[in-house]
Amino acid sequence: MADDGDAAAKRRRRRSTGMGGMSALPDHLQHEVFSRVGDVKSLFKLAATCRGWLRRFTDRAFLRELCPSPQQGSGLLLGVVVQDKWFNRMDKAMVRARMTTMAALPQQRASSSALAPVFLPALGSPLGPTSRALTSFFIGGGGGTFDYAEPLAARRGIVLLWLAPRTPEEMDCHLLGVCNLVTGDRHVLPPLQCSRNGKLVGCRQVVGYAIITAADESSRNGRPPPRHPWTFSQLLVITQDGDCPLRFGGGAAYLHSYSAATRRWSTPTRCLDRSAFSLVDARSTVDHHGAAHWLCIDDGRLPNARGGGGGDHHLYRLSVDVATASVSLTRLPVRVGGKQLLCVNSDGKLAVASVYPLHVTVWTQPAGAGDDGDGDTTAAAWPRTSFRIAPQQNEDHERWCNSDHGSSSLLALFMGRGVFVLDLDTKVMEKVFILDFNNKTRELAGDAKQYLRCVPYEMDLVEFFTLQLGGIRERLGTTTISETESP
Amino acid sequence: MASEKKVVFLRSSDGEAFEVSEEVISAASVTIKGMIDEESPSRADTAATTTLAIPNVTAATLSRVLHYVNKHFDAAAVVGRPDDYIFCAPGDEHPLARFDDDFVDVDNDTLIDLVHAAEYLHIKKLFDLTCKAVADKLKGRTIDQIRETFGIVNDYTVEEEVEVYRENSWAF
Repeated sequence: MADDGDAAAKRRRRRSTGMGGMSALPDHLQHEVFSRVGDVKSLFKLAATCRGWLRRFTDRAFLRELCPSPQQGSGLLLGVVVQDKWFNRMDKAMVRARMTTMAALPQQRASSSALAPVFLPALGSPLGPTSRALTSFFIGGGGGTFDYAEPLAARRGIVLLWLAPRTPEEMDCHLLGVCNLVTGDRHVLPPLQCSRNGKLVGCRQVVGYAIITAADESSRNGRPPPRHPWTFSQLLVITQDGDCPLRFGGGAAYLHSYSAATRRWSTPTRCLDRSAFSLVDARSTVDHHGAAHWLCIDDGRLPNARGGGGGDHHLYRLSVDVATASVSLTRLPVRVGGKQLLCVNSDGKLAVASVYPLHVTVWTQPAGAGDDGDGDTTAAAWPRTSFRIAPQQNEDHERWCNSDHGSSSLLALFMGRGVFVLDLDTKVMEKVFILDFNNKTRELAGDAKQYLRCVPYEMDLVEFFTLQLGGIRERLGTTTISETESP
Repeated sequence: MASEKKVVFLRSSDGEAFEVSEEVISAASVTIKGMIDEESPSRADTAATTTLAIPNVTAATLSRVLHYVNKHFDAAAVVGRPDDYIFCAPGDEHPLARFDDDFVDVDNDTLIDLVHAAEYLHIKKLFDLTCKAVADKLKGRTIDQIRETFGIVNDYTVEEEVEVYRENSWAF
């Protein structure tokens, strides 16, 4: 029968490739299939099944098609992590319910994924076609730990979350967690305690954070690239006291660093005099030299560096060297104004983007300007360019943040209108379609007491596959088997 | 009555002919609609039914495709219901969800033939359904299950395999 002949033909095909029936599909059909898997981990497993697939999944051209990036910036945006449940520490009933839930054995805890943050994928995102509770990315689901968790930042596929306290003792601490939606790794950090004689010192608020990966640490030391460049290696956190900076010996912001290797927090160090400076944004940018930077602004009372009087605000860069944890504060020759964001452009240079309602001005650090906070940067002027953008509406609900991939783009989240990527090189603003995003935000837009935390989730999957599997591919050695093309 | 309903014959690559309502297959397959439109001037004056050669699809696959097409595109079933059906995830309440689940519950080779046929015939719904079904066979499986499902031969040496596992323990 025809069927038999057909089956025999397929058996032959299969034997000749070693890659199984799937390799009988031409490239474009493979992509159609792979784009519907919606789970990078499963694709990764397929990639690791044999030499043939390993070779395919380390081929950049193949991967680029698999993870289409119509524009450099938006292609990396896989979606957003959203939380609209707020853990109110003042609400005694809520706190009691939480403590009771967490005191129960994990198996007995009520299924609570409705309270965990939700991942909303961008259209065509390899992380899946439907919104999912963040905990569904982990085996075991997190057992309630991630209920009410508030996404703070994301970098290189790692999401930083502020976690709701699980025990009465944790009520006075900052509990943070990181998780990787691609690998499913998650890490609950030991509580960040800053009490001295029972009093919290300089630690009431978390005002800055930086997620550091293995790749950042090695870039500084000129070491060979690490085998797991995407692993979480450090977290830098800046804390300060609330409204009364001078109480309890406050008046300073403190830097804490957590090392994934030792699973410990460092002793906090003073990093900023709060009587004169404050952080512009909690989000940081990490450059190619392994340093994390935050933008700071002074209170306008400091005398001008060129000898002039006070009165003007100035912009500064607070930098922390990841390897040594040394802190420096450098004044930037950038005018204060608009919503200002620090980013690293495609040449690895620092840039400050000032977003105004009708235009954006980008100040870029010139080549050769000092990079180690030695004061050179104040001398050299930073060239700037300005361009118009579409008028922004509904400013109360907008948020701008920097892209973490050195692709010179900014991400804008407009509640009610969607997510946009602004490419600073091409000056093009492009909408990224995020499934359910508008539904999620519109229902909150009318409510003045709305609570919505939203963090864009970016990851360069082409880099991820090539770095993760490329090493093995090279070491597969010279015992090459015949190329694995479909007959 | 029978004359109202025009039919066409589709001849598979291995020579078997299948009868199908012209209206139904035109609604389903962009490719066949194109073929019929091309033929129609010459058909207008003859009463003979058309036979279209489908050189890329075997009888076994074509009969499955037509089974699907009759279920999804038959006017009697479609009338009065907007064609809001895009794709069907398991668990959907769509009346044909169950049919679709059973339809793609076949071995890989059959499924991959269906992907090819759906692409060639340009039947979007079927293409989505079958691609998704192949994708689901990858999802959430262990590496050994993926190898088994798709008949992938593990051609690493023992050392290489150890290395692949060690460096990517998160995935396995």
